[in-house]
Amino acid sequence: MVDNKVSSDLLRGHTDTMILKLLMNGDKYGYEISKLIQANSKSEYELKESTMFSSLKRLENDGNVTSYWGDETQGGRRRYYRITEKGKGTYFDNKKNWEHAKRILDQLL
Amino acid sequence: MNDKLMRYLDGVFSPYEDSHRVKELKEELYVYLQEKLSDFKNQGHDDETAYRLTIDSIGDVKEIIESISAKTKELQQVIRHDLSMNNLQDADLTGVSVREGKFDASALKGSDFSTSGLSNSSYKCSDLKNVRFDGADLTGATFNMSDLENVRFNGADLTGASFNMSDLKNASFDGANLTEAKFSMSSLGNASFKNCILDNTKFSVSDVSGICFDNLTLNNTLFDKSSLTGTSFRNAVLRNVSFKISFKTKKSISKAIFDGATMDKLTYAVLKGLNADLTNVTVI
Repeated sequence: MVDNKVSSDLLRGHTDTMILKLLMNGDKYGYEISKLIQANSKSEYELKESTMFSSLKRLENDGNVTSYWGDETQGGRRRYYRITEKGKGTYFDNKKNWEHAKRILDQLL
Repeated sequence: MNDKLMRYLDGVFSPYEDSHRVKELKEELYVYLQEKLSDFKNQGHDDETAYRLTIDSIGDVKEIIESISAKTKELQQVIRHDLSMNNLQDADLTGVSVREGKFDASALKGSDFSTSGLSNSSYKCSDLKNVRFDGADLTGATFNMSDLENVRFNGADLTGASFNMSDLKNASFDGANLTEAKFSMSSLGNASFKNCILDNTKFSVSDVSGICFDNLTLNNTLFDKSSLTGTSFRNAVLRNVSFKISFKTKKSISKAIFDGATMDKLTYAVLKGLNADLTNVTVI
């Protein structure tokens, strides 16, 4: 777990991009996203629900993702998110910006 | 356990229930929390612990709801409350947002609305005695035939607000913004207006006897058929202030105090014509 506030703030700033990256490999529902982020970070980062859902709703409002109800027969319906063409563009832009910032930070720090 | 989750969500969502998007979010969160809960149980936690862990982990649900509220018109409507005929005596309503709220015929005596967002709210025939509106946003609010004795509006924004036929005895408007506010047929005995903004404020047919406007700057303020006995404007600056005096109130103006005041030529000329005492007045 990331206990340090600064690094967790830094990571949270990239929530949109993390989610977009996961959706590049197929549609996912909220709990799946949250579990994948925990697993892919080897449990070093846990996304808070409030952060994740705010990010999903923002991505949807901006047209980066769309969502639809799944057709689960038992239990409640899951809401799936799908990345749009615009979302793919946003992902690549964000990724490029991060590589750029990382290069500069590596030189400065 | 799932019923318990639903009840938890019911509570959190209760102020927002009206919108379709909010209902969808609630359903989405419900399924999310169920899955999380069953994962905690699979890890060997008992029901109660699993429930507590699930709820604790959810973070601030309000933040999620508010992330969709910005663009959802439907959500705006739930705050346009109609609270008419309610008894809210001594209620603590600090910081609430009830834009365009209606508080007609309500008993609000002693309530605290400090720093609340109450723009365009209306109060008709309401009992507002001792209510605190300090720092509240009351732009465009209307107070009709209400009892506002001892009410505090310190630092409140009352731009364009109107007070009609209301009793404002001992009310305090210190530091309030009263730009374009209207007081008509209201009684203002002993109300306090220290450091407040009175640009384009209208006092029509209101009793401002004994009121102290000392040290204030009055721009385009209108005293229309107001009774001015003992009203004091010591060291105040009066620009384009209009005194439209009726036959009944004509005599009262000679009892108003302008000692040390500064005023433009027109205001001076009008007051002089009305036999006001203008000794020690500076004309600019």
